[in-house]
Amino acid sequence: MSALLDVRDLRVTHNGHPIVDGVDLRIEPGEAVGLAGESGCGKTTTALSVMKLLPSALRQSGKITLTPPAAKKPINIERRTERGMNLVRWRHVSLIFQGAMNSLDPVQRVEAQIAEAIRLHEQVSSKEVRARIDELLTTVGLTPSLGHRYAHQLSGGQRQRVMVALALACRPSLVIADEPTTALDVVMQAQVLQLLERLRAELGLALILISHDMGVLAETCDRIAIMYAGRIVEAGPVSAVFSSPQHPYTKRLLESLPVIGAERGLASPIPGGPPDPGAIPEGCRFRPRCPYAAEECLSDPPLRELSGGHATACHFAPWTEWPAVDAATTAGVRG
Amino acid sequence: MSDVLMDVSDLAVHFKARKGTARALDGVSLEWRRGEILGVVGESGCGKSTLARAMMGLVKPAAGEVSLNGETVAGRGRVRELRRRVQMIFQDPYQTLNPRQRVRAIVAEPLVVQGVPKDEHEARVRRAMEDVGLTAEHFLTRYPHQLSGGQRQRVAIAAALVLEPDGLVCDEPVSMLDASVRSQILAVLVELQRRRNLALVFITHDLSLAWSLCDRIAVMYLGRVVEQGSAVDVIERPRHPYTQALAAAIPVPSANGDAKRELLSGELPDATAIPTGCRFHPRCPRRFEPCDRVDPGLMAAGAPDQLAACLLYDPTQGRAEVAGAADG
Repeated sequence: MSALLDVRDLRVTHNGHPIVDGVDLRIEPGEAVGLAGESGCGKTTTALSVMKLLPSALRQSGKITLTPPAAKKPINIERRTERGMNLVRWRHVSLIFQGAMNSLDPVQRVEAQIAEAIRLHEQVSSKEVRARIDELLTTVGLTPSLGHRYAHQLSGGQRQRVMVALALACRPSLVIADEPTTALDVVMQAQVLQLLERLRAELGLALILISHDMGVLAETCDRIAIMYAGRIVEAGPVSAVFSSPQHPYTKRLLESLPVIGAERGLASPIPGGPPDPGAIPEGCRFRPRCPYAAEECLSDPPLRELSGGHATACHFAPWTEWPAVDAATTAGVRG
Repeated sequence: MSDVLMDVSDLAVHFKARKGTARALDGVSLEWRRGEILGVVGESGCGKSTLARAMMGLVKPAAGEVSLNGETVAGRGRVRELRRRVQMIFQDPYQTLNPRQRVRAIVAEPLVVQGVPKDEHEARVRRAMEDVGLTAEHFLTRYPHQLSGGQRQRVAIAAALVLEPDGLVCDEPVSMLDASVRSQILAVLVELQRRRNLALVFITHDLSLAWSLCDRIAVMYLGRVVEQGSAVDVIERPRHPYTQALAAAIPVPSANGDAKRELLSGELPDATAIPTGCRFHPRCPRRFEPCDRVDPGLMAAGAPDQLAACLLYDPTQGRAEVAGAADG
């Protein structure tokens, strides 16, 4: 069976500087894949490339093939024109934006916005549209009567649900959710995540979930890819990556999360920040911030598979144990 | 001097809304002790930010009072004194700094307002900048638009520190910052608390952050504190069913984090229509007969110093939790 989405050697540049620098990504039908990393690492750019929604100042190259069950043959996204993309977006793949709750039209009733999405892609009767709207709102756990409301009459969680309903309006086979819960508090976050998980099971939806919150990804995804400075530095099944991270960056990301019940205190920040796209270090991109960096790291480590789909771009992998590093860089602030 | 910096007792703040009166704060009692980090957590709309504003004298209470160092804060003079002793930083470092002022003027402004002699300004501004980890030479002449989000929040903290307050109220100070910047700002705050014995109120909706950072935590629901106690007790062994639901909703970053959880259903009711009896009863999985009639106050539950506003812990209701609470 071919993958639902197959991204090969995706590169995106801005003024010649790489934002995304050779990303490969495969999503199977019904699979949930998480993309993690600090802001500026290329997560959102990767997502927008799949939708072909990049700002015109960015240049994109690489092969992106979408093979949805509802289409007769594979769709080569990179070759599609803007008009051709209109037939793909929302119909086969849709996007829930970051801060989506603020992207609803303030002067249109919620149901009118959903109706518009359906009518753009399908020839359906008004009666059928009405039935679809009610069904969609029910699916995302909203009373259909809320469709009469305007965005400002809904709470943050309700607006986020409307955005999920919109993303599902044309029954796509892939939904990309870019930080869908960042603006929500813990209860609503859990509700929205549970909703996405339920829809995935019920509708066989594949999901790309972008988040910097490793906890959110662990609970929702089958596989996870960690990005750093435009590259995937580690990828694999969630259980493998979380129980035995094989890249120093992943390890630090996991350590920076408070684990309730374990020792309290603030994790120390990873020193420095991610590199500027115009000044990417030679060799391993994480080298300047890595406590384990050595001479080998001056050469660029390829992403290589260690076992069962678990791959990492670190010369020293597999790591069986992590040597202790300088106390100044690891000791908790709280002591 | 007692070890309580600020005492909030039975504080109520009401706002006029189209649908009637919104009781944003509806009888909040809270003790903020010297040098401690007090976390205030809850869903959006529970009244966390209103509480912060009321503690700063920025909104007028409808009832109840705030006292600082044992003296009631009422009237202009007292509010002025309050703001010398307690300062506040806000969520959005992009909106709180005057875009037309240089960093030097922004940080010195509280000194001007409080009438501190001018010859002291430069030294105090520099000290505050040093405390937040910004080089004075480098940053004092800049404008806010020349700073990153993390630098802006540091400037806001410096301006709050320049009066050398005893307490700092932080309203979601890192929720708009990226993960790596976030831990830098938190490190600055914790360092200040430790070195200057600065008391912090830390308002957040991030429970795991509150757990890792705070000494004590107060959980708010619909304008009231429903549970309080040490951070470890409240988050690891919550007693109020609401706190239990919040704690269960925290995503777990582990390999087998797929545990099925019981989620709180529904949404926070409107503050104009607070349910009768226990305000949490319509959403409570453990409600029993009198919960829709009796409004419970805070009572001992679980660990010493842990309180929950829940009838499960009322000895007169004869529920098993009372016995459990005694040995918990």
